[in-house]
Amino acid sequence: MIWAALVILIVVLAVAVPVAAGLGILGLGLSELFSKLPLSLAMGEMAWGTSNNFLLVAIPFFVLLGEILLRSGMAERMYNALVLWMPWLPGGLMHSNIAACAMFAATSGSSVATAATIGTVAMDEIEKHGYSERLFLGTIAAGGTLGILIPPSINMIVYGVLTDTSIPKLYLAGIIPGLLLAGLFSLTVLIFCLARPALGGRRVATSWDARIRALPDLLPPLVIFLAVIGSIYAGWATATESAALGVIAALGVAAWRGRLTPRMLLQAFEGTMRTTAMIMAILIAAYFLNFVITSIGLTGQINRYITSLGLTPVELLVVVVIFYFILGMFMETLSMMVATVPIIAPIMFKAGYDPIWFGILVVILMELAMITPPVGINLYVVQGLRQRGKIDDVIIGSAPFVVTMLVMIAILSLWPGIALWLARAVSN
Amino acid sequence: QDLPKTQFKVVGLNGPTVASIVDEVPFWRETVPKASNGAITADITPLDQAGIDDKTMLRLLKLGVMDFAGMDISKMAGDDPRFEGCDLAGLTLDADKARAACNAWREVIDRQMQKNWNAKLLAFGGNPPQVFWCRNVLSGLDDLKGKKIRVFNNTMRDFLGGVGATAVSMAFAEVVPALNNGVVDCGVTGSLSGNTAGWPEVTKSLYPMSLGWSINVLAVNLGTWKRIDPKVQAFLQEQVKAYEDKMWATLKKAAEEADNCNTNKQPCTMGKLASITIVPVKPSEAETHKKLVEGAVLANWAKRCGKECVAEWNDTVGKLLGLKAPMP
Amino acid sequence: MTWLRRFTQIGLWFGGALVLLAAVLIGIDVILRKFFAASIGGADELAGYALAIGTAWSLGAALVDRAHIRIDSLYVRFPMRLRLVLDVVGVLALLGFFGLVAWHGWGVVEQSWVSGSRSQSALETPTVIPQLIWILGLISFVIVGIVLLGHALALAARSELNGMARLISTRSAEEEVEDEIRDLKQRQSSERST
Ligand code: NA
Ligand code: NA
Repeated sequence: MIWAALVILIVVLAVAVPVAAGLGILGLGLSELFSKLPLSLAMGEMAWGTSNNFLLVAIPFFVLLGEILLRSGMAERMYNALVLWMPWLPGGLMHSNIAACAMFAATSGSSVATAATIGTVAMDEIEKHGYSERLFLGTIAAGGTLGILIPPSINMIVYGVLTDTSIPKLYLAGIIPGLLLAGLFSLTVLIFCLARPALGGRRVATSWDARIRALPDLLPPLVIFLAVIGSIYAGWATATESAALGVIAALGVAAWRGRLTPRMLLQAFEGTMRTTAMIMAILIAAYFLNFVITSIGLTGQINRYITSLGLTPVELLVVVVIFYFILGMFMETLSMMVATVPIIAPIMFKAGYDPIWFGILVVILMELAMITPPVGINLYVVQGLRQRGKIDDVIIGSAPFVVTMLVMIAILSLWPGIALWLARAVSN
Repeated sequence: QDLPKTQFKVVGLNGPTVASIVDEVPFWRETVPKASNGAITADITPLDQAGIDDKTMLRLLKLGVMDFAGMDISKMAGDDPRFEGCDLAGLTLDADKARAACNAWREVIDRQMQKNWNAKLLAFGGNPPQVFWCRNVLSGLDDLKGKKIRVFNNTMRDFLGGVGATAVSMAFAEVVPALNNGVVDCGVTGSLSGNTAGWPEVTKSLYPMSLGWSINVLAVNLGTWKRIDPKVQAFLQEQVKAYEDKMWATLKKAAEEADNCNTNKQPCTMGKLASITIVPVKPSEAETHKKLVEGAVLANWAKRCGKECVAEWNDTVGKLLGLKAPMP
Repeated sequence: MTWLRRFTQIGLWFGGALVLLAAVLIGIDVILRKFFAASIGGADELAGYALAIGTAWSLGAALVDRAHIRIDSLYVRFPMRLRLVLDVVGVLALLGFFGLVAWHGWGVVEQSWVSGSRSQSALETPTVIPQLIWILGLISFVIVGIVLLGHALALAARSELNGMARLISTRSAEEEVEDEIRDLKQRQSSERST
């Protein structure tokens, strides 16, 4: 059954059928092959149930927030300010990319929105300053994934709901690993540029005066961060509601900049809904697929198999990481979480792993999935912004950061306190 | 007796609930196969693992994408208000009365299921009572007035409306942080399910006036039922009777254990030891309670359910409990 | 084709406006709750409807703008004609799946109508209303897809393969085609000059 599923999936995706349709066809195919019951009849109810799920509303909210900030000029100003502060490092603007992604991640819960926003403002710089295109694209694709590790985070919301884990605690737990991972990304760039200085591009001229003058441009992201994150800890809003507050704060920033016009809003709507429709199409198909997979007993099979192995906790962890690495190559992250976390998480908790810690691990594994081919959504976002060349450039440019993330996973496993310390310190 | 080999597909109650863990999953995975000498087997998935929206369970059962379904009946009330007829907020304050009320209402639900939902009712079950968990120590029922309270269905909202509290809706997973940070003042959930989900860490008191019992039903798709061998039908009906008795026994035991666990006493095997104040329901509050149920809860439900339904209810459940729903 | 784009663009605006409205409603609800201990009593429910309806009405634009993700690593290495066949297969698969969703989705609406279903919130929304707007969006998506496919096949019949690629190929594949044509023209012009 597992093999049939994998073969259908790989064939359908290899011939470039849209991913949403591919997952849906896989669901229909598995139901046809392995179920006595007419599972396809559930498609309507499943589609409606998925489409109007309140938790998923955070997706368009965070995408809209990014679109508004992009069109308000805030993202560009923030990026340019960071450019002035970063040029002394070998690799120059690529560090600004990562820093800008990390900073933007503090306002947005979506990796797609983070990569798209920073990518849009950064893309013109490649030729201007003579960077190695591939590594530069890689910093945006990988840096963008920080969107779900540094709070707020859609994936943490979904994990929290799937496992009944506190979302605000997950948010706190994501901060240090998020900053650490951003640092490791920069370190990766540094290593590459020291080894091959040609990758690094020309330096941007700057002065302390210009740097100081650019500082106020870093303020608006802080305001949005406070609106989204502050509202949760101040007892105003739940994590999902806070995404809506972020949208309102972004509108405020745009209005303050004098950029809030009907035309600008309509453009933001277009970008938001195109991305939302694309993600939701995949999720609708994935929820149906998940229903079929559990109905035909595939989930139970996997579950029993893993339990029957009788693994030690460390072995179990290794197996889970490999499992997500492989599955993450082929699946969109939210749908993958919906399909697997309810099975894997209880096994991990039983083996003694902390739910908050495991949540952070899962989020990093999802980040990994976003930049591994063939289905890596950030690869596609960056390629979509670029509108030229082959996607292979983005894939190759992101490859070093895949290794970086694996290192991050090792660090997190050896020192779980990196994730747990802040969550515990604040709750006590 | 030799039963023909039969295999069923079951989608069951929410995975982390007592009813699922102690009764439902073992019933399908162990009891039924063993009692039938391995002839009847079932593959059961809790609905949360299948990613199903709980409000759609009955609709999915009707479509026949599963043979048997275990479901929280008040979640189906949007499709037919009769389904919450024996689980209205505050309707019964102890488990025996709740079961009796559901027994009195059984025929109506079964009839509706057969008529409109291509399904047949097999058994009723429940969970430890739905109670108030609050950030502060309540002084009593009156103290709920003006508080923001998380509830999850219309009949509870009606009750709060009567009390003068503000109903807030949010996902279950968001309630603990919401209580912790003060987004809400109180939340309503089961005395045991709240305990296992860590609510005692963010609340100081528990007010045990029951707002319901998360009454669940086990139902079978009519197509499946008609297709299976009469011998299997008879066997299942017998098994289901024992299953129902077991569920109500579990409920009582779980409710007792929940009280132990929440007040740091043993035995507490089903939950986690915690110590919060249980604010007892005062005898003087019983009168207010009755007024609330008849006024706010029954009146609003009657409007949703219609004349015919109310007449039927007054003849059955109403008569049993000495309550009367006003004609809309 | 222009009016098809226009139509799907309006779908995006409609969806975006609903999402923004949902954000504002939730904002109001948060303020009401914090300062007035009151609640709209269903802002989350309305936001859910906004997502469902907005998505349904935006699927068509995502198709016309070629925003639905396709894994084209292997595909871009295929010859153009095979690519175009796969493009048609891809659109058909998407339409087939969402056609089925719409078909069964219609059953959902019918059931809500027959049983007079209402939402479990303070609003007690008759669920047919949001579901009907949702299903109409899905149906419009299927129609948009059929029109798009018709256009593409008409172009194929006239051997205007470039035009066809611009409609339904992935963006990187389309660019390959343009590169090939540019090469071809350059070669032609250099041949002429020699
Ligand atoms: Na973030
Ligand atoms: Na991937």
